[in-house]
Amino acid sequence: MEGLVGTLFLTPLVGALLMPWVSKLGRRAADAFVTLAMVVTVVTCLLLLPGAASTCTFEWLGAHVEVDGLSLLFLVVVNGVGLCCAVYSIDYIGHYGGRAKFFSLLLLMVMGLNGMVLVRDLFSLYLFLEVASVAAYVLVAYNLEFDGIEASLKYLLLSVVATGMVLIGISLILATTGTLGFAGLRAALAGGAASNPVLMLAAGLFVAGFGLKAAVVPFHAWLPDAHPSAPAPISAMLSGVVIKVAGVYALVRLFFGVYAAPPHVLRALLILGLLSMVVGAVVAYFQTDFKRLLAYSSISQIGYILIGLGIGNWFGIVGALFHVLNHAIFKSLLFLNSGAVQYRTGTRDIREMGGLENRMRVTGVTSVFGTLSIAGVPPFGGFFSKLFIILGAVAAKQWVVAFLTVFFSIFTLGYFLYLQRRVFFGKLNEKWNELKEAPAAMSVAVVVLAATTLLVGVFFDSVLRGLIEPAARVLVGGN
Amino acid sequence: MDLQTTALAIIAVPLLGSFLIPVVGWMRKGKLTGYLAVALIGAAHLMTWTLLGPARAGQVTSFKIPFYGDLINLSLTIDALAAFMAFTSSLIATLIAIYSLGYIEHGDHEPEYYFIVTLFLGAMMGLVFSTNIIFLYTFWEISALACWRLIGYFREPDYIWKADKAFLVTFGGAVLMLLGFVLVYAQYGTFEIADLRGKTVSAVALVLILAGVFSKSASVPLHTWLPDAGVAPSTITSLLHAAILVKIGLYGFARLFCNGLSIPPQWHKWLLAVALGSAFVSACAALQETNIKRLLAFSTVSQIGYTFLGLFAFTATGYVGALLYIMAHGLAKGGLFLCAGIIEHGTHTKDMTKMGGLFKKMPVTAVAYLVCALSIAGIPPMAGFFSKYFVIQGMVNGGYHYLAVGAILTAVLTLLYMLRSFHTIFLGQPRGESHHEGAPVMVTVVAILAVMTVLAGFFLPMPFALAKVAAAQRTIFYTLAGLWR
Repeated sequence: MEGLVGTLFLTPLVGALLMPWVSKLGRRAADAFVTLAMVVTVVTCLLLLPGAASTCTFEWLGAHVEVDGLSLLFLVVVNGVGLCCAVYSIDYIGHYGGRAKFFSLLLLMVMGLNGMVLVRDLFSLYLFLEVASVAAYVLVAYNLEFDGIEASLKYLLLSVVATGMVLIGISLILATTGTLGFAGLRAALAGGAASNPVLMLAAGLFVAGFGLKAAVVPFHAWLPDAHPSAPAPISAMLSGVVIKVAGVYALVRLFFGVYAAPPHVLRALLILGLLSMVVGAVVAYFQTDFKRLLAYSSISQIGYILIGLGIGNWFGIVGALFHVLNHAIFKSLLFLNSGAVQYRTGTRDIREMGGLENRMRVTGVTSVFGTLSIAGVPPFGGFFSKLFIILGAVAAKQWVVAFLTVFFSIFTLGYFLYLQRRVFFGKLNEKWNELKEAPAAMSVAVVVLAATTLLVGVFFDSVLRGLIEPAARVLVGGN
Repeated sequence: MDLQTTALAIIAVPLLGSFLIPVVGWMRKGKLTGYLAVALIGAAHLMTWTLLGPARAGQVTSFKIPFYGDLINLSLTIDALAAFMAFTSSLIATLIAIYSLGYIEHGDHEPEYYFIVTLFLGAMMGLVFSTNIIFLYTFWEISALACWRLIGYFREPDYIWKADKAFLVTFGGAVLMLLGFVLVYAQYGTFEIADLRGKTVSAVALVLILAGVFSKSASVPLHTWLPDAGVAPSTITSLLHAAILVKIGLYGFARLFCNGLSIPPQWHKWLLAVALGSAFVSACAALQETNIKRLLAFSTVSQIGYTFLGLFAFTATGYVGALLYIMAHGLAKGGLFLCAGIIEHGTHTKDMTKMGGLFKKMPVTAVAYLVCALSIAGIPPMAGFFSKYFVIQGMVNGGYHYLAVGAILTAVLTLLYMLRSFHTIFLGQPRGESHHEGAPVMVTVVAILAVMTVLAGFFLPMPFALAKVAAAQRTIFYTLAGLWR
């Protein structure tokens, strides 16, 4: 078990460090190496899966490392999406150049994210958050064009504010309780947390700091710039994985695992979630940039996740965690689709497209899968997570929340149908007569993701039992 | 095969088999896709025959394939209602699929067309046997997304907008319905319709569920997507109107509220008023349409309202009438839309004012059109007459005399616009040129539907017996005058 967990740290790290030398052997060697590294981490996650219900803890380099159901869910998400993005990049990154640098940074980001979900103290969490973030800042600016660098700078500056707040929160906690390990903190906070103003101030700082990382409205300003400007596989990683691990996972771990779900924090999450869901969906409706539309829809979907958490009952939490998985799959799928379209057409402006499914069949069909899943059409995965969130809202007698959640899934379908209508469905725009399907590796990645989003829906029971429920039990157990 | 395996096969053959069709399409065997679709749909239909005997004997078979705890299981029930719907829908869908062989041009989108038509029928079969609400909902939505792709089949910009509209309206209604289901779950703690039998539904949940039912079954005021959906190929409009889509709302209501939850009696007359309003208003709209497919679409909205009248009367006679209506309307309206397809192929227009005198050029189509139109209007001995009679009788039995008068008035309007459309299209002086009868396979199918419309009238006792068993299997809401009123 320890060996497997160590693999999750070391494989991406060693991969990132060796990449410059491996790439000297040629293009194909670098491609094979990054794929191999990611396959190893995915296989490791799958090997850990049967033990999802139990936990494994040990000390490593002075840090407390633990695998439980919640970590495992996020590990599967990070490494699964990471593998798809890495495979996709093999063909995609050709026109940017700097293959080795790109793969190194990607692996470094995966390493940071894996670290975040495995460690069990605030300082290490913060450390790995910064590892992942630094890689992300560079990758956003990877195209070295004006908008990329601008977006990266914006992302960096706002994130510094976020991590600053987190760091102050950590200092406050350390000063008050004298410990940073989650287990110790939980004991120290038991009972006294709600009454101690310093600890509640720290909680507020964490909500704002990690909320900014999760791009929750009103802390979302960086996301609509950063996600579209990045290369498509990085947009997919950012929207599908990074905001969830750096934001949602940290919030969940802290407020359910350490703070024992204080009611006013839950209410704050619920309100922030509603705000994100509504604002993200409404603003997405007015976008004409393919990736910007997806970026706003990510904000909206993060809102759904926070709503589920804010409701705080079993259904709500199961729904939220299931939505983490589903959103990771379908949003990275859609971002990879947008990348394929941009790769072939050279534009992200959906007004210039039209009828692309006639030339890019694989991209078109897989984007329909993504659209249906994000709108919550059964039997795709997105439906079941939304169903559980609605079940939770009704069980908690949050009628307004339940109604808004339902209403905005109509809205979501509305703007995604608009996207389908302008980009894929319909008569081919004459301009794109010579268009070809995206290269093989890119198509393979999107087909895998599209199949996964359907299979997760069809076999929702196994996914719930094997992956989501153990994760939810960790949270409710800490309650 | 026992009944369970048969029911599973009826669902699985078209639902899973449909995925073979794009594979065959990729192998550049486009022409085969149509035959494969006909084979899959036809096989499903033939299997429904074996259900009829046990269903008529009053046998109810329920079984459950466990999925997720007590919450979501694939529960299937084979009773008279399910057998009746499965038989009728798959029969009409098979005929439409055969007609498609002559209608759909070979091209890029041909495999997609047959794939989604087959998937669509598979979803319908899943829907009629499912008695877990979440699975019912799942199949409900698969049909919505199938409908979206099919309405936009010709890929014109405004066609796609109309396809999106259909998807959005039905999806919007359906998610509201889902919220209603969740409210029911919060109240009674189950998604199994069998366990909800006789439980009273709360007012909020009822309104939310009806939003889904009415949007799917295109009742006023949620009907506007249906006339717009006429931009689809005629086979698809036929499928939507006659065999599958709009029947889903009717079936859903019958399953949920006649065989499951109960609606408090004070709601009944308001429901009837809404249905009658829908039937009447859309009949008036049909009177002044000149586009043949829009006229037929408004007629469907009106007939759906009529069918709802039978269900909302909550009497056994009304229920029998509603089921017979689903069959009679399916056969006749399926025939009418397929006639419209032949006419559209021949004249290259949908505008009736540009037609005229087609009787000589298209005699078979003309006769079939007349027979189907008379059945819709409720002229004996066509099947439509008997179903209409039972619906009105059911309303009278329920004590709604004034509303029954309104229903008869609507029937008069129906006769008026149906005869007017026949007159404009087929009689008088020919206008325009290049008319010809449709391809043999198309004309044959239309003729079969017309003949069946007449035969269903003559051999009414057969469907009637099944519908009567279905009526006896309903939840009995309140025991005023016993079962058979």
